Amino acid sequence: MSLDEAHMTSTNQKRMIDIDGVGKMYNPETANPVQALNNINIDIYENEFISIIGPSGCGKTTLLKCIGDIIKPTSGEINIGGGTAAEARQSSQLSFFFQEDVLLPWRSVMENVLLPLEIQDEDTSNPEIRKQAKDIIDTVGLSGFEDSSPQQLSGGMRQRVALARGFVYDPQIFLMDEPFAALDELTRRKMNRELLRIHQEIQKTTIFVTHHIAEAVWLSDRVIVLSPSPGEVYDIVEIDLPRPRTEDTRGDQEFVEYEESLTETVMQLDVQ
Amino acid sequence: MATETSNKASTQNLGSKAGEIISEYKYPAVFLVVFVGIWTFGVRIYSIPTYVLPTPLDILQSFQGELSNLWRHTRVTLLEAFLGWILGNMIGISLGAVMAEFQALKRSIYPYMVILRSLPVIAFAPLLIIWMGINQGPIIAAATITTFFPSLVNSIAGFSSTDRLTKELMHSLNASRWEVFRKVKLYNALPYIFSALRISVALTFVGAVVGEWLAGNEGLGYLILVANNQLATLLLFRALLVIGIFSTAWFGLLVVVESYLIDWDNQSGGGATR
Repeated sequence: MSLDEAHMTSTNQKRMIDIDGVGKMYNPETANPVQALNNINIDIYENEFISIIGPSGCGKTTLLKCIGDIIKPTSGEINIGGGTAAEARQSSQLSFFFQEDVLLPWRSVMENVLLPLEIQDEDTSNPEIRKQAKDIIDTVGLSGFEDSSPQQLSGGMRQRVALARGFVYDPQIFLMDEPFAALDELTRRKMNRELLRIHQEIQKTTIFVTHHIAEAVWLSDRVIVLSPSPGEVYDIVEIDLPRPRTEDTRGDQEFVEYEESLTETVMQLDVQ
Repeated sequence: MATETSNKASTQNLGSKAGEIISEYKYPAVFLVVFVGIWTFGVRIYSIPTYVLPTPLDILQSFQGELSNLWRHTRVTLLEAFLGWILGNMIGISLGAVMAEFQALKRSIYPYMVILRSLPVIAFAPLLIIWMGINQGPIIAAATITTFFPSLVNSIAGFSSTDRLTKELMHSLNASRWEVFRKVKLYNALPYIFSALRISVALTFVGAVVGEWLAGNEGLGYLILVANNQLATLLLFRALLVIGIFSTAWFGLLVVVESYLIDWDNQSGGGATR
């Protein structure tokens, strides 16, 4: 049993995010309101890696955007590190990663990575700040591309820039909405490996939305299964695989069992 | 690796640049020669008098000794057209930015803008003269008005063109409204703004020439009016040619400036066009 795992299973770990009875209704004033989320209750602990899976339309992205204070829930409360989601966002504790890289094409790689610091009124001409950005660019494997423009980069490289931009201001919580969904299979696997490596290195609470079940099992401490219309927590599965995980983990009997049982669950939900 | 490939591509570009230019201008050049030929030939064959239709050569020759006089009038019109263009675009672009940012304002005044826009400028001219007198004021105002509307429409479209995901990103980074505007919306609007600047070059000349017809005592529009009264067809053609040259050069200059300023916009041609 690794140190990491021992930490996860200890009972006095610090609660980071408390999702309490959260619901979200779209178009509430109209003739056909849509209940996207209903009574979601989840506790997420510090440094935990959580994946949210479920059939399409189950409100995975909606839930993540509620946590990130990008949309407001219509009921319930989200508590992050003792404050509201809005306070967490405003104090730069959160970092949201989108389905697309959302790079600003008129900015170089470096300038894109500096964007969050610029908004936080850091002096981005300061060599120390630039060093900080440079280090992150190195971490995501883009050394030498600081002055390239996004159009010169491949999809995988662009997504790495987006990761660097999300990491650079040292947030406490990563909220990732299928950040690699638009990439091809091979690149996606590579990026997942990167993500696992980075997570093992810097240990941040991460909520990862995906429709890729093997990916969720491989990366997570817990996998949350949402059922569709309205989105509700159907199951929470603890992934009891040792860390650090490697490519070999994918071949473990236990890994395969987790993957198969979760696939079964999601398929069953999709039929309903 | 990416930089290496792009370097290679640019050297290749330099090598084939001349060939590219030739192949690009080959067709219009041939067309020009054929067109001028038919024109000249037709005038000669049917013995069309010069005051009805001079030959291209007649027109070119008539510039001799007229240049300084022509330049005096050209200067006047250029200034009017330029001021109208600057004013119309400044007002159009900034009002467009404000209207895109404040939807309530846009909804309140846009319908009236549409109605105003459907009125021909020439209908405003007498009013402008009553308000400002017979001088360059109403001429510049006419050029401003013709420039203003396409500029406004493009500006609204441009400042509204930022996609939802980028707005969500900026929100998640806790950017203020002003920061979103300055760091994102302004850049997204630039191709639309340049589109407006280009379109309005031709329009500002329309405004200036029409303005001069009604309130001018100098300028190329005024010259066209005089030429018309005197059946001085050569003079008329000279004035037209000068307007054509300057508005094309102006347009071309904008294309060059835009290509230097906006080097990221390779996917869209940039902007609404009306």
